[in-house]
Amino acid sequence: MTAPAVTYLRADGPGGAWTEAAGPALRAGTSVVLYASAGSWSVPDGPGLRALLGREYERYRAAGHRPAARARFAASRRLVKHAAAAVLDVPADDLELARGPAGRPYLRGCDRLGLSLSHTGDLLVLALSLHGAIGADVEALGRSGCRALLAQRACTASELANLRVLPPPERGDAMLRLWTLKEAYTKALGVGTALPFHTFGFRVEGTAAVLHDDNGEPVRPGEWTFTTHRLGTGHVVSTASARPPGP
Amino acid sequence: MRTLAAPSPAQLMVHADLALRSALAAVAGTEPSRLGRAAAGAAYLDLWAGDRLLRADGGNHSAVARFLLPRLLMESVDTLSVLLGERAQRNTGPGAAYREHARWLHQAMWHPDHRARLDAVTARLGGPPTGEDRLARPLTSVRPAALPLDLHALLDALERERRAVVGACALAPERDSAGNWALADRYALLTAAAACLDGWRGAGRGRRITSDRDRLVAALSRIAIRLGLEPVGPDTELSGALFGEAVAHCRRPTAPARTAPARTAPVGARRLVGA
Repeated sequence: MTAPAVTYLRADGPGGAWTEAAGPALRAGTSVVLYASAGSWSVPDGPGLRALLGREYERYRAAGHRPAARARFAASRRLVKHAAAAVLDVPADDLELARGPAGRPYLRGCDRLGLSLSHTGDLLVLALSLHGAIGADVEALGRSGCRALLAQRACTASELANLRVLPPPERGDAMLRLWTLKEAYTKALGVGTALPFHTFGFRVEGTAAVLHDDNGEPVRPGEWTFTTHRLGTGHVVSTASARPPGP
Repeated sequence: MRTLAAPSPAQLMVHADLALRSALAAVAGTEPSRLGRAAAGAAYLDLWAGDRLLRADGGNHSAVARFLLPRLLMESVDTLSVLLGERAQRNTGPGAAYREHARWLHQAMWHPDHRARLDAVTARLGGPPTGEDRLARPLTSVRPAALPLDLHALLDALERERRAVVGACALAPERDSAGNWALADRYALLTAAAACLDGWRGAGRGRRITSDRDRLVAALSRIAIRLGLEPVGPDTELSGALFGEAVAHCRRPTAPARTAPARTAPVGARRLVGA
């Protein structure tokens, strides 16, 4: 199986090689995953941040009792706006991040640039696409992701069977891959955790994955593409990209 | 690769309508979850708002509808996967029909004509709305005291937003700027809100005033969320209350569903709507 094209770019802070590479990669038809430390996008509270966040500034202020969450919120918005600005060739402060009623983010007036944000610890991930809806999720490898209860709740019978045949040391990371794929898919649909994870499943083959129904039957090929990739940072990032019907 | 022609707003409405009908057919005879009921109600509300917009703003020629409907309808149709649950992944039956219609909405959303659709709206923003432009006048002429409290607060916020958009248009921003693209989005959402209100004033007299008001409040609340304004209440509750309306809607064959082009309405879906 050939893995769908995704370009992974380290994007620690504004400027740098990633700003030159992201736009051409997107226009060439691949999705782009930018990953960065939240610290590299940190921005102090003040007029600059207020201008950057626009209407989201109140949401930022509302998280005042959780400084780490507030800092990550600001950093993630800065990453989104600078990345979109680099792709669209516009000033970052002119872009406005909006949300649909179910929480799916979009750039107001620029919604053809599909985007999905994820974070774990200090790592931010932003997936971008110019060709369809996209979702992304990141987790740190080595997390004890294969707790039996979590697997029972989140996996289909077929996925559980596939996990059981793995050597025990490999099950945790395999479960994390499934989890991130499920998160990515539900984010691409804009439904988040409202869609129970045990109602669909994945079969992972290398860095690609195939969507299955809860009976283990593959869903029609060609509707979605899924990738799951180990970053050099010790994380796994998975993406879900919608493929529109063609002629 | 050959590029498919962009579907018209009316065709998008057909896809969204058939997606809702397919989803409800898939769960017929079951008791949907709270979130599933909300998803059906939300899809119905956005379909209703889209219908109001098409009626008020020039049908398939409406620049606002061509710009706004792909995202509006795609968002709520995607959410129907919550109602379908495991049925959303089936390769046959209503679940498969649902996915096919959802994919056409995605295709419209990411169609290469996206920029042209945006430009058609930004072309309207070179000065304050005047004349026939619906945003040239307040969203409603009904006295605030005559409105129910929830609707009053919501309309207050939407009217402030309309005045802000009118003010921003008066500044004649540079047409090809990200700020103007965002303004186009707000302009389009407010035009849809005005269309919902205008329709309601006509239909609000006489029977079913309460349910008409619930529908209006919930539809406007979803538009308010998209504008970054405070909703009247949790969307799942407001939309969930419209589940019965969504079911009733799907029991009726609709004009757009009956006239669905054969290639966009698979046999199974046409059978669902009695076409």
